Amino acid sequence: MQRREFLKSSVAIAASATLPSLVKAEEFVPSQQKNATKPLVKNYRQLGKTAIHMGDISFGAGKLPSASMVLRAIDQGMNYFDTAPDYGNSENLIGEAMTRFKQRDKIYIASKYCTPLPYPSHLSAGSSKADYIATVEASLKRMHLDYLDVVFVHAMGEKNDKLEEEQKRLLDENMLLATEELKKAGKVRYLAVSSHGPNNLEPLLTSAVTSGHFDLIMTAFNFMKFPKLPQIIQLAAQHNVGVIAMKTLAGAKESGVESGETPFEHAAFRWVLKHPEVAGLVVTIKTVEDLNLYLQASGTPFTAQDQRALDRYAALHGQTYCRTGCGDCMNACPQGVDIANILRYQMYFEDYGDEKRAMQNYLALTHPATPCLDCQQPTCTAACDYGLPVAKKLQAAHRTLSFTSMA
Amino acid sequence: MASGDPPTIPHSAPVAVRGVLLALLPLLAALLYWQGQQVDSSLLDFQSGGHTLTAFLPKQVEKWQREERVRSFNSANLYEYVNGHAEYFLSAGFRALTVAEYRLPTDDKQPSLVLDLYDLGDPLNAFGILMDEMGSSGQPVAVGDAGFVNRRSLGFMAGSYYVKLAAFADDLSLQVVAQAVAKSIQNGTGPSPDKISFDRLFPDLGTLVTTRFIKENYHGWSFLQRVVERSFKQADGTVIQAFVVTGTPEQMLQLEQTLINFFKQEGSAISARQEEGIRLVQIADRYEGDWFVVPLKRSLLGIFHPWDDHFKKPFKAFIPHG
Repeated sequence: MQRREFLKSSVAIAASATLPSLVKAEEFVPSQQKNATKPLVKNYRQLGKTAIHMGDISFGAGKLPSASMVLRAIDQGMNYFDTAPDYGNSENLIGEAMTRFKQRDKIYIASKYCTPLPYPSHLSAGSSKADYIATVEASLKRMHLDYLDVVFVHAMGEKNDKLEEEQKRLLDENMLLATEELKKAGKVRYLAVSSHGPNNLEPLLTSAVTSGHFDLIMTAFNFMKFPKLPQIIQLAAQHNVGVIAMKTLAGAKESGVESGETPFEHAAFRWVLKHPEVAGLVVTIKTVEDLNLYLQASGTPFTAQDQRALDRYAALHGQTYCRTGCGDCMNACPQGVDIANILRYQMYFEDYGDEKRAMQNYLALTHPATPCLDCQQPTCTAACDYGLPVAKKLQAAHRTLSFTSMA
Repeated sequence: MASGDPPTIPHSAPVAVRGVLLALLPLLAALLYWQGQQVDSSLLDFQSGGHTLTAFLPKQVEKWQREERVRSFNSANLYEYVNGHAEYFLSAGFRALTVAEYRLPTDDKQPSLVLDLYDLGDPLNAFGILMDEMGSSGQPVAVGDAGFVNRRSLGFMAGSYYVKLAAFADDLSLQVVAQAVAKSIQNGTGPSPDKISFDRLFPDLGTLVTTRFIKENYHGWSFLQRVVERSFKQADGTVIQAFVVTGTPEQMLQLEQTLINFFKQEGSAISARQEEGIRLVQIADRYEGDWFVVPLKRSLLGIFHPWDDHFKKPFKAFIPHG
């Protein structure tokens, strides 16, 4: 093969959206007689005032490995799939699955007001109505769908620490007009907002809930305390706004805290799902093993044994886990180091094994942790209510994430 | 004492000398330790595959001047350079790394280019790292066997080597240095016997559309790691996907068994047959559709399509890798 051909074929990753369709396989029909050897979704809950009854454990498709994983998940009772244009090839793979699975009304698909550029590529405040509509139509095309069940204004407070600016993005008039038009056209059913912090998670979600524009929220929520989140999800319930939880594994560290037959993941899920306001949780599923492990927790009650497992986890990691969305340290650095985002990217690298994304995100930061290496007055450490050694963590994060700047 | 008498040493003297010597021993040990600590292991130039990696790095490329100090790392001290990321490279076959800096005449304090040269032992490893680090974000560039360039970085592979250049300013001609290094590697290793040859890994199943490297959990199967996937366009416009995993004969036997066990547990029907002198294992897979794998001595080839006659010709011409 000539080098030119090789190069051409190598870069086709990014161009996969334009691939011709794969060899057609027969229609996929979910198993009527569920295979007893595989764990299934056992509990479905209504999502706020929507007509969505989602599985308590639902599919986060941020690292979707294949179309077949979608079919496999449907076979095991999963009915809610969370994707985005900037989740790599995720939408294309869902589209591939949908060419075989014809029962569109049996599942719910959520995507985001984003472009397919590398994550994060959320539409910014001030984008035109046409831009918002175009992103949804592009998602529909990639997924071979007529409509999205949910479209999200995604990751509020992730890239911007200015509350006022993010509130403009949250309630962008063009976005609201575009959503209304998309709803009228039958291309979108519900509007949602998501946030995993680190900036202003609580005020932004509160604004979303009280604005009356949003049908549901998706928030980082786990047993490692978020000071005001219980109030926010209760507020959401009062407004009949649905709640989906994410980041439920609190960093997903290899904890070794299983107690007896309770895997840590099950304890963490059950803690989230014991809150009646939470309709379901979305968790990233990368392997068949993930799917089978996670689904074992579906429909099962939170127990004292679970609490012991979580307590042990908190004791082990309480002083190393950065609470996404906490934001206490946000303005602690006089040099403006983007502390919360850096610690989150470090979590992506260390705990999620998402090294590439972590390093790319770090590279894009305007205020990385470079000044931390010789900082003489680490005011950040005192700012953490949970006692994290923030300065040391920032130095370690810089070394881990900067890679080429190590020379 | 008479002057003609041999000199005598007072009894107390040897005791004193011995005492001094004894007292000096910890000092001497401390000195030796301190000197040992002054040796920067990264300044040792590790040999790799019979080559000294530094020999691949030209001292001068146009206006670029290589700094005298070149650092080298092996698996024992790689973490000193890529703390937190060392395991990633070690699991990808890492053998050695040499880091050089290049300076332009206009550079003030800091050289404007850092070059990392990794020996990964195998072209597939180098390809995997290249695709993982640069493949989805960079633009293709004709350097080495394959390369990609971003605003301030350029990565390429040449044989089993992965090279990454990072600049500290925009608009620097990274390609000039990259081309020189690629040429130097080629000259140093000769006509690459280990140049990556995907054509030997796959039968000719149609018009090549894509080549991808998937580091882990291919299709969600945790037993399939470091997979090369290709898609081939057919005359009717549809696309067939195929994948290959390579390894030692023992690894391939184990992989085949693991794969068969997995699908048996899944309840999939599995059958074996011979076609064109090659053994196929067919899998009736509820989720992937019917597909087949071809267990070979040093690779395992999978094709997401049921076997049919149109595969006969390409398989007849297929000379498997290894």
